[in-house]
Amino acid sequence: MDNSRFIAKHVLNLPKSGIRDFFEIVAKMKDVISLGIGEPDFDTPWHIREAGIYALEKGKTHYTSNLGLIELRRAISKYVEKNFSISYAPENEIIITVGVSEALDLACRALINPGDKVMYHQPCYVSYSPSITLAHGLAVPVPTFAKDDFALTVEALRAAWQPGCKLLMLNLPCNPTGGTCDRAQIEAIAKFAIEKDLLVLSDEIYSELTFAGVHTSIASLPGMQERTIFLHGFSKAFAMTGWRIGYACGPAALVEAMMKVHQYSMLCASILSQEAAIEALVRGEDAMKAMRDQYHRRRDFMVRRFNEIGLKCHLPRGSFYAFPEVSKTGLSEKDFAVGLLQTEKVAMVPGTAFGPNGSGFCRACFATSYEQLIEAATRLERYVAAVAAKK
Amino acid sequence: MDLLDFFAIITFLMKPIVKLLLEGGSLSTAQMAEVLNLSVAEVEQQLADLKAQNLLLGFRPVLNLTREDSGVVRAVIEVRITPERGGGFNRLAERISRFDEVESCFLMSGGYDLLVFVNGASLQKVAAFVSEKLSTLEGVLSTATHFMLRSYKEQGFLLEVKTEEAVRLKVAP
Repeated sequence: MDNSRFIAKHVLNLPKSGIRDFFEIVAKMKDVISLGIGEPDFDTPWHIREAGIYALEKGKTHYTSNLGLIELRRAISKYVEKNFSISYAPENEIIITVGVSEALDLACRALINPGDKVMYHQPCYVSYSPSITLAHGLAVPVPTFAKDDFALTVEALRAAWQPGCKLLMLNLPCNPTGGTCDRAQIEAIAKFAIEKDLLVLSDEIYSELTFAGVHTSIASLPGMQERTIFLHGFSKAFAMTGWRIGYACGPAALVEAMMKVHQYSMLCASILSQEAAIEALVRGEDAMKAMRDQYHRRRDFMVRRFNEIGLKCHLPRGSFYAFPEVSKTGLSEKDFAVGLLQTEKVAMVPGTAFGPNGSGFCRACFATSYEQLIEAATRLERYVAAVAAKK
Repeated sequence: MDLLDFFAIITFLMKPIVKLLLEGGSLSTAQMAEVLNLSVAEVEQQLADLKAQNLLLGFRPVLNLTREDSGVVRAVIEVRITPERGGGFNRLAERISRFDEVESCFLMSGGYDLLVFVNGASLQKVAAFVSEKLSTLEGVLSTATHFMLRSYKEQGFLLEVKTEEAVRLKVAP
């Protein structure tokens, strides 16, 4: 019996993630050096893990308030004020979520009416467009380009804008490109958002991993806090991906709307993760900075090697991703990645997994050991030379 | 420590080569050169400079000495000594430090003066060192010897805790 007729149309039509296809190939191979993993190679710092264990020992095994533990919301309020210069009331302007992914989903479901248009820049994180579609919105992609170091420009926004656009999703620094915007660019985007009356969903999960300049949150600009939902979490900065813990901050009415969806679906984030997150915010800064320093050095090495090998790569200003251009080899990003995997056992993710504008690029995550990066670069060099020799 | 010394130490730890030594595990000179975008000769020169400045003292393997077959007995000894006019604790501390049995030696605040880490081939040999060499030195007032029974962490390496290699997905978004 064909059961597919039972599946909702908008889910049936949703394309499978390009990463998933690639994962299937890589999963079957042994001894692969993977530059395809979008998470820190560090384990969560011990003092944070220990706080989670302690919470379990103390019998903290119950539900929390829908918005999350007030102690955590207070800690977030302080942290965001100190590091992003934005002030949110812990009582009603902050909600704790199951990772930023849930926060993004909540925002989409709470804010999008069927047919509302949502702008997002791409290449981008794999779930942006599907989250919009699942909330019955219409995704309006805005391209970013290598010539701009994959910063989002207001010109591209203007060109992509169409009547009916209601939301603008930002992810700066960006997965997969490592691109971000400087203050002047953010100011221009803010002006555009005000002009077009857009609400901004700003996913700033990589903000602590900014290597050059100072990260500016769009919510901190004049007139923007009231039209921005600030999304953040613990996965990247504190190496806590598996804890699934994030948060959203915004105007009370919008947070309340998101809370409605959250309370009827997730109810609350895991209390253990919430307890550990408090520890991360209160005492995790040193460990976080040490990890960021290491990513910085690995980035410098990997990007230099890509360019030496002949794969032109802009210097990512944040995140732990490099996004080299592979099209000069004469191969498509997919053929390049599959060939590299099969001949040299190095995994990079084809750029098109992150949207059509990733065509000609691959994503390489440099959150892995120096030894692995050095070896991966040697193999890449050999592969690129072999491809050139075949031409 | 005056302010200048303080900055010297900060800069020393901030040096890329030192950071790489600390976080890179056992990278070879050639690998360090590759990461730092330097020639092997330049890396060797930087290491030599650090040694010349007495900032890098040397490299030693971290061995698991808790195993029975290691044949090593270790102890820490709290030593009280008489400070000397002119030299303070230094002359005697340096003299104690020169014994081969002494692994490390620190001047401490609190109830005793020197904390001495000692290695020996057997309990008797360590005991003999304490009773015949250490406590008979002029200026040594008393010793309190504590034998190490078990090691849980050795210079940053966990011993008793089995740390499993964390399993990461091979590809993740």
